[in-house]
Amino acid sequence: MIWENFKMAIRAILGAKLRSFLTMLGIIIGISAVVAINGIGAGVKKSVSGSISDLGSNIITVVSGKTISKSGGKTSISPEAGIGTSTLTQTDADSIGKLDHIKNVAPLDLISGLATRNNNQAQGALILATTPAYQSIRDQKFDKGRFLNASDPANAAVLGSQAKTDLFGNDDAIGQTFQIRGTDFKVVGVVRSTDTGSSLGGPSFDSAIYITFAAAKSLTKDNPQIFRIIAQVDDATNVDQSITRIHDKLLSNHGNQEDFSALTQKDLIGTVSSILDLLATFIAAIASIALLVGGIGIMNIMLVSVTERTREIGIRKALGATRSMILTQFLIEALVLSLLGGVLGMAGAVGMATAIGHFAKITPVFTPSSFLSAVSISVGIGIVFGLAPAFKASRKRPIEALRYE
Amino acid sequence: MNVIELKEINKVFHGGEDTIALRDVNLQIKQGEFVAIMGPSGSGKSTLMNIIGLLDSPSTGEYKLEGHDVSRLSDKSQAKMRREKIGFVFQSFNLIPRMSLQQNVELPMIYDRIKPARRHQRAVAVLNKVGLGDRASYRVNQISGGQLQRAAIARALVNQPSLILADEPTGNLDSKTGQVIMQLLTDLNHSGVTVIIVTHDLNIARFAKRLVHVKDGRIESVE
Repeated sequence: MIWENFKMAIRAILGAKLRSFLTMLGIIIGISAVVAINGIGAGVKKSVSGSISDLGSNIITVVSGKTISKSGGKTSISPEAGIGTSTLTQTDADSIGKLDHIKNVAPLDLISGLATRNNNQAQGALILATTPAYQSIRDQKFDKGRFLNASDPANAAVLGSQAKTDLFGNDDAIGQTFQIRGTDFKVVGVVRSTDTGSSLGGPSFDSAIYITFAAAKSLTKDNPQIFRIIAQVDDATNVDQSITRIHDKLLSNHGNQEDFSALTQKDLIGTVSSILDLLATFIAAIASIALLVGGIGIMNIMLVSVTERTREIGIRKALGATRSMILTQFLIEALVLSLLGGVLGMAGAVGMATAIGHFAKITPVFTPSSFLSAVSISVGIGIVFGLAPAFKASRKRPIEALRYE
Repeated sequence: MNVIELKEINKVFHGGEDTIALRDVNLQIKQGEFVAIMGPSGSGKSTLMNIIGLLDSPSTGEYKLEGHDVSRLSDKSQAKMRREKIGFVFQSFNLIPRMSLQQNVELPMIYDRIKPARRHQRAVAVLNKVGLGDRASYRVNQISGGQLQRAAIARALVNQPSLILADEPTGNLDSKTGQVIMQLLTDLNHSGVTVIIVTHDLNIARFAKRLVHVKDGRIESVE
């Protein structure tokens, strides 16, 4: 009986292809928006967590400002707390280095400036001043040369693969010079491309330029800003304990002002995830309006269809269909319409996300659960908005329905 | 045995002004009869037909179908009676346009929850019986009026009802085709099915063995 109803529904839908398609459009748009944004969001999350976990699970990042508060197991963030003059100092980095279980510690300065060579510019390059310890923590692979070491002169520099291409094209960069704010720097190494995408949605490490602290001091007239401190713990099991120690140490350094945050990689991933989740919720809210409109569209067309097919309903009743059989028939028709819209929406979503991903260099990730929820949303809409028309159809009295012209 | 027993049936339509469609109608129809209900339009003959066909309920009175009181049944039981005991043939054929003849004929069996294989077999058999075996896959808009009415008769027969109700079955057909349809109904009657037709055409009514005249909601005469 149910199967017969499906066949009847498909016959009715195929009998009016254009109308059916237009009816489904709202559902198609709503479902494809939700599924596509989930796919892209999951893709971004995967790429970001990939680049963050590249750093290793035994890494603690200290940033300026109280950017993260945890309550009830939920991490909430206030990124603006990290903007402005940094509260972190070289003393903080030094005192972290003296703590137990800390293997390496590297402060990172972010220097404003444009790297140039002749007419080439490394636009969007992230100029970072750090210490040789950074390499021990990151363990970067090199296309050519090596990372900064203690015996390097102040003007030594290491280029990310993108920054190298921007400045030197295909030429060999080792031993060559480029300028930042008019100061010459000499290239000692080129980092291999990490290909894990951007970090925290910011510029990729591939476009980083690493310079020494001595150079940073002269560029910033003795006022380098430490924007984060990266510390490596000897073993991942000691991370939590070290977080507490770093927290306590910096709290005393800063006169009991908690104007910094010590984060694990997991926290950072959580931060990114919570931003993406917020975005996804926002888009889901918009898409749900499309779905609502789509559902109303289905209800509208089904009501029209029930009126148009009054005579058919009369015939079916005369042939022995009960109210509930007619109700089931029209309910299933609405459901098939909505489900078909959902399936087309999912196909559209895959196409759309793949296209967007192609331009934004993100591989969208589609999970069975996102398809499953799209299917259940479609089914739910079909049932909710199909109920009123189906009920109307089932209530028609056979003689009146048979007389309908 | 009486297939149909109507006792003191009254039907009032409530509107701006109440219309009495049937007044104290008493009628018995026996198994295997061929009855024509005749009367001018507005006489109440269609209302009588609808009540017999369980498409409408009487306002007062008692209706026994095969001995069961069916005057005030639930929707579900009425539908069950319609699909098991009654086959309808309408003036305007009332086949569903999007479907093939065979699909139309199978519809009452779908509502009777008969398995597909058996359904197909029975639909083909009954289409053969009305001479449409080779048209089973045709759609409603691909065949003539006479063929449509034969398909409708096949549909009415398919659940082996005890009663065929035909409301002006030849009304939309030319007289020659009408005769063919009436012959088909006569043949069915000879094979034992009770047939009731509603008509205002005496030439059609002649096929029946008994005539019931209705006028102003009353049965005037039975001959």
